[in-house]
Amino acid sequence: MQKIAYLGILAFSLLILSSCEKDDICIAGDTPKLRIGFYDYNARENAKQPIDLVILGMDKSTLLNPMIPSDSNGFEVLIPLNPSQNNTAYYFVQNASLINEVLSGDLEALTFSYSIDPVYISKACGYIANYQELSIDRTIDPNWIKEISIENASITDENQIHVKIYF
Amino acid sequence: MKIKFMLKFISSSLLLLFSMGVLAQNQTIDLSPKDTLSTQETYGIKINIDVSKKLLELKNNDYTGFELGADFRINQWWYIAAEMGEETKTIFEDTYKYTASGSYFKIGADINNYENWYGMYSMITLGIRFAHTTHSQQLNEFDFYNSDRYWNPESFDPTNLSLAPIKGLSSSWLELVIGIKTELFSHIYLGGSVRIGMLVAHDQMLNYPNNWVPGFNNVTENSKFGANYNYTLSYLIPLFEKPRKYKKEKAYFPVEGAEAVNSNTNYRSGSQNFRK
Repeated sequence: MQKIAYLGILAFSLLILSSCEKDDICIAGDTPKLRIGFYDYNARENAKQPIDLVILGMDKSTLLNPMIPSDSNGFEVLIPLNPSQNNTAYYFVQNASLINEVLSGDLEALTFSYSIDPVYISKACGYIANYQELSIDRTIDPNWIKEISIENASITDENQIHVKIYF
Repeated sequence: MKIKFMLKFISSSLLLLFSMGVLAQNQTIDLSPKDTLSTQETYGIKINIDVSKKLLELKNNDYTGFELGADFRINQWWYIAAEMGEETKTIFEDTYKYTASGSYFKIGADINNYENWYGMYSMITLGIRFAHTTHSQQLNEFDFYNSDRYWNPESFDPTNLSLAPIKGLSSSWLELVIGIKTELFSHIYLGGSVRIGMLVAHDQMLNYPNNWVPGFNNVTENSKFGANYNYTLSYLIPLFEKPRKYKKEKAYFPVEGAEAVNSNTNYRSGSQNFRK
């Protein structure tokens, strides 16, 4: 009887040793993106949809995915910042047209600067980046954007608007 | 003259021989001898050197480990047991790599459940330990986990940021030990054990992984339990001897006083047969 009990304990311990670990897939977190909302410059509370807006990373040849569907009657985009650098530059092109792979339209160039906090999430995810002290530089002459306001300079999640663009 | 002496010698020595024979014949034969041989068992300290950690070290460049253990026999069944050791391991995850290192001790008791024949000292033990470690973590390198691949299409986002190492972490746990030790040569034992640990205290530093603890092995998130094992080579330092004790055998008929008589006679005669 006693021997059977020991065999049982031994088998149980082997089961624990060989069982696979559940924390192999990252579901606990992700590096947040920057949420930008577009508003009417004249009626500041009102969201306004930019016409034919195209967003392109500087030195990139692929366009960023188009505007995300908004859940709050607003017009918002989520843009990824580059965690490998302390700044990320984007072209915001309104009334854009892409003819023979030549992009034309009303051009704005915005450079987002920030400091990076590594944040440990879990065994499977490892580290994500949180951004602090966000600032925005307009590297070429202003075109269609009339005002940029930073609502939240620390980007730890992407649920609320960090930057409002009035035009 | 010479012959006379010779005859005298022979006859007297013959007489002596016969008289001895008569003596032997007179001795009675005891058909139920009393157990006069004392059943002494060796007590001492067993020093255990961990072999598995050294083997892992040979196989794996990212690991060093060392463990010494000892057990001290206190009676027929019980042993006080302890281990102390040191481990360093570099853990590779998908997006980061860190090195954990530290030292630990484990102290507790083992109960030997193997009913040895007289003169054998094999062990099948069930034991419990309290274990404590102080360790440090050093994050070697990491990438940012990012499901968006716009800026780094080929990989996770690399960075040259670094985090300061964290020292003075501590963890404590209770360990259930199932072990085997068998005598290879005189006083030299080969053994092994499987251990299931349950964390009772585990420092979680903000912003640092702490998923591998020296002496405990892998820590699974949201779970207190872990498992580790070892193989040991032991040397028994004999210190003193004590008479062997026997487990009381249960009487099948609960007659007053029958239990004690039964247990002694049955076991004693059994062990005596073996000696003959």
